[in-house]
Amino acid sequence: MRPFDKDLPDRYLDGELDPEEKTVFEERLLSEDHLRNYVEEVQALHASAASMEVFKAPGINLSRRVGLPWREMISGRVGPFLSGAALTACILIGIGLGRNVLDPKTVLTRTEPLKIVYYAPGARSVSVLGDFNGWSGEIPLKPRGEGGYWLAEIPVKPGEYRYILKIDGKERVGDPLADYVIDDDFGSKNSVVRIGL
Amino acid sequence: MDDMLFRSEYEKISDHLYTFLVRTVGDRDRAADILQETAFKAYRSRRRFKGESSFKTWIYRIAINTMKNHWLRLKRERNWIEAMPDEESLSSPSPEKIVTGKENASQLSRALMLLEEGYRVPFMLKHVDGLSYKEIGEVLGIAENASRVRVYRARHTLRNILREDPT
Repeated sequence: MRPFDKDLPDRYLDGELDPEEKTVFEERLLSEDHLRNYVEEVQALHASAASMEVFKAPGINLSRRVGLPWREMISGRVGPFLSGAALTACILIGIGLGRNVLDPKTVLTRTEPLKIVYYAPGARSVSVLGDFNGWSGEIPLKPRGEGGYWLAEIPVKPGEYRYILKIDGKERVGDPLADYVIDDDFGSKNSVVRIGL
Repeated sequence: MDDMLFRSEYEKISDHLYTFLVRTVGDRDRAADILQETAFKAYRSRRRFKGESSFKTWIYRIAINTMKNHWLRLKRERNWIEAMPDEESLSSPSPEKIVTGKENASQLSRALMLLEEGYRVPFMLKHVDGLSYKEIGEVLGIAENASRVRVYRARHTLRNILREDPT
């Protein structure tokens, strides 16, 4: 191969040759085994790269830099509590929806209204039940756009609040975006957020 | 960039970004930590994202920087010597570093893990994540042509690795 065109095979592989260069190069491919071998082997390499397995990303929490809660909530305390599509949806998107990101040192001092955003594509309804109104009734989350997001904004005074989410009126799920999760008195788990503390 | 748009864009690339991190650091837990920190930083900075590059390029660049910091932290804390290589060490591929690596599932995965970071990352960005050379340059903070050279060298080295280890 001539020194000045050492990058020619790679430029060919990248589709960066102009038509004239490409024609000349493809003629060379017919007669130069080393070129043809290189091109074929790298093309196979590219095909392998393109077909490599894509791993499912774990859920993340946008209100924390690092730390146990996001992983523990997904795999441990909340994980078993979630189920089916809701679990999948939460893991896919569990990224602290609807909440402002604060400095990690002040992550527990939110003062905005309690925002609950849940990702549940395909759900017919999503509601929240909690001690912010004495567990006295379900507050429906409203669909937000077409992407499967559900949103509720609940004005609350500063304090710590426990709640659960209900999907389609029955399936009780934890909120992977809560500050933490605790056991309730009935063998189930409550999501807990702290507002303005 | 507003909140919902960020989440929507993140959702589109999160699996590929996580896969990229797993294949780069070779450890799912560490990759998950880096992903978490990357997303946190990106979300916190989302209002500064003006669309001058693609969202994908922008967040991959944050991920690369986060990954470098993790490497530096590990190096500092554990005297870990396998930090990101500097420019000097990237001057030529090192096939002699090809030793073992039977733990990875696929031939290419195995070969990739034997490749130096400075070549593995550009190769994956190009051929797994589909970034252009210009975008790779933006992600890595290097010239477009430098990213091109690294991908070329990665191809050559991978080809040599696979020839020597055709199993």
